[in-house]
Amino acid sequence: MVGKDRIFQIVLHIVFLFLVLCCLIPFFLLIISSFTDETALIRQGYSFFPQKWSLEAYRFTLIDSGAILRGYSISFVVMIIGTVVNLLLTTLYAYPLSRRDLPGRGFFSFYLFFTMLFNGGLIPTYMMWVQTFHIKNTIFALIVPNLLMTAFYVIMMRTYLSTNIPDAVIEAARIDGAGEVRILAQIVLPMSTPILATLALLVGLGYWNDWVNGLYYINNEKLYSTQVLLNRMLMDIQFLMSNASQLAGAGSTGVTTLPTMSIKMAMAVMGVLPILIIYPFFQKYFVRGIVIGAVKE
Amino acid sequence: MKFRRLFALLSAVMMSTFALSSCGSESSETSGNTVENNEDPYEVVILNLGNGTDEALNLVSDEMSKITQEKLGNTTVKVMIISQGTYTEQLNLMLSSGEQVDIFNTYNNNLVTLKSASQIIPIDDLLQKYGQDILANIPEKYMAAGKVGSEQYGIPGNRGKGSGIGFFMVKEIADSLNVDVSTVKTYDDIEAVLTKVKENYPDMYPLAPDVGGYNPMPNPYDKCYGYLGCLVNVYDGSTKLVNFYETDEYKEWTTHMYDWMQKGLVMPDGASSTVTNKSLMAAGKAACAIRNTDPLPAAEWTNAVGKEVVVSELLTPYETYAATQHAGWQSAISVTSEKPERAMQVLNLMMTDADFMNLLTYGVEGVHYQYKDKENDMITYLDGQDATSVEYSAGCIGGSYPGGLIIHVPDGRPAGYWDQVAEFNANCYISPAYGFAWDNTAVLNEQVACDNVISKYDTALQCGMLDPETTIPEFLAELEAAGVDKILAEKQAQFDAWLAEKGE
Repeated sequence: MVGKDRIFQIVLHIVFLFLVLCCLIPFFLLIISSFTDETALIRQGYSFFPQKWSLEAYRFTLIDSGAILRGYSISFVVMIIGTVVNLLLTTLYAYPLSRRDLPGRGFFSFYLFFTMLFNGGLIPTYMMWVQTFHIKNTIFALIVPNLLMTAFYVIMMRTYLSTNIPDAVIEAARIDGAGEVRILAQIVLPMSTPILATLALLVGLGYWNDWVNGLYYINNEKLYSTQVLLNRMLMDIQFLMSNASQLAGAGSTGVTTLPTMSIKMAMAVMGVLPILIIYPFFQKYFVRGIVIGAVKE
Repeated sequence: MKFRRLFALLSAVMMSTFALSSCGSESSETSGNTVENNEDPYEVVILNLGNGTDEALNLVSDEMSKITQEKLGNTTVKVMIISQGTYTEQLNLMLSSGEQVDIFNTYNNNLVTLKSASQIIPIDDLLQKYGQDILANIPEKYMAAGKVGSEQYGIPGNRGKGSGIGFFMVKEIADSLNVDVSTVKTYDDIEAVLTKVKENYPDMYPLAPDVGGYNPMPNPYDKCYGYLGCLVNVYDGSTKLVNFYETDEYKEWTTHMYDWMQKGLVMPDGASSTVTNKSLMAAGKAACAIRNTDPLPAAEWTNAVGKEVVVSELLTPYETYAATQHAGWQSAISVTSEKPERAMQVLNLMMTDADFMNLLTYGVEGVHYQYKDKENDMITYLDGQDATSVEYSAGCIGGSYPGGLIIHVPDGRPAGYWDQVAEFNANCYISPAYGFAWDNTAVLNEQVACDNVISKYDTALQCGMLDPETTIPEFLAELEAAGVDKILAEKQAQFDAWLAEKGE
């Protein structure tokens, strides 16, 4: 039995090692390319053993071009504010829904659910944000639309709360004299760190990776976040490709300003780096906070 | 799918509502205003292509407003700027949501598309009343590009109006091989040069296509919006639209490319190339390229590659031509303009006022650029700045406005550049289809199906990766099944109608 278990373990390890390598190798190639000399990159192609190393791409992105550092700070500010507000709103909607004694629970559930099925469509949404709320070209354009509260996350949290927080715990708290706010803040929230961490990660990632709002609502290049910047760069390349015959003769000098391959790679590396760093810190919350032995039935 | 359709329907309803509402306002506004009695204040919003910060835009708008207030009564200007990659999306959102835009660059949008979406207005009357400078300065043959049917909708930008197709080669390599590039004209000449390169520079690609496998066929073809139903040789004056992929010219070109690929003269996997052939030349990886030419192509390539590049124009008997693919990038007046007559006055000012155009294109002197050679009107970036760090850059779009040829000469171009562009335009052969605009709504399904087929074969064929002998028949059969004949018939009908109208 022991021998069989061992073989099983070894096979499993080999399979997973293979899968891990499939994920890691392209990523390493990306990192190495970003440290490769531009000329070597074009002559030799992507390689694990470049002929010539170079820090030129990082020197350009970090020192020469203020745009990327600015994009970084915009991304961070937006992600932090967005995630905190999102979690607050999500909790305040999900917790009441999880309580069976909420009056009009059916209506509020449906009201939430409805937005998952139907939305206003692009142009009306755009009109609302731009003409009623005037968020165009402000930092709110990156925080508010689409990302502030997601119905799906509310439902996720509601389900977690209603299955993992026993009614008896809340009842016990009430008997001890706690009000609704205190129950939420001191009893329910500490017991729901796993879902909060999960949501924070999902929402944070959503904010970090979002470029659509930047595409529609941002023209001021001082407000470009990292992803918007990366997206614009790719679009610019397509633009040059598809406008060859128009640009000829327009007196354009823009063709030479395309970022080189190594700069593209360096920006991609810098785009994933913060997520890579943050991820391990969140991981520990996933396993914590499981409610065992809180109630004796 | 259902939602998309619902959304399309909704947006169509919205757009037509705006179209109607602004039609009403337009007719009441255009009555009898002259430049002098512009007493009520009005801000003309100009939507520009490029990059800029809010501060830079405010500064430029203020400076431009000073000129308009002096010359156009109580009119001010607000410049808005959208990055090139997001221009189409944002423009469409702004126009369909009714946001005020007065003048905008039509970019790649076909005028017919903009007209059928009710996003632009006809400007014939406005041109007569307020646009005399434009009418006097832009030749009728080029104005034709801004027409839909008999009505004028766009004002073609003033810039290099056409292009040729050239054979580019790094001069150093040409010299070492004793090649006189100016004598390279035919496929055989090209092959001889490429073979020489291969023998002497074995680690180089003799010929490399551009990024994405763009490798234009050296023939004076007019795409007529998408190759299916195009003119393959504009010089012969034929007005019969043909399927580009069915022509002998295409067969000959792809056969040569395939042959060269077999002989190792062309970059392998060119269709999926992610670098421009200019960067390949700069890195010493490619020796030659076939590409569209502009006025002074050798200088432009030398500047971009960083090594001297020489070029030979491949087309005969005319070196350059202007076709439908060159007619985009016009300025138009938006349907959301509250006072289109003011917009036209500003456009007219652009035709003649160099200061105004320079502000719009390059920003403010001393803040966004400096003189390199004031006598010859040549400018450059401020010390320590370049194209990516300058706070206002709309440099590539001066050519989409009427005054594209009165602005400063940008960095990297020789003195007197605009005169050479004007001469280039005077020598351009005009395609019989120049100014034709194609409305594909009747054959949209066929168009999409055909586009899919084309993307499967075309680039690979033009980069020499597929054998035309066996592939082209397959390609044509699939196009046939996708409904190419219906597109050809519809386009020919529209084209004939357009020609008849033009002939009157």
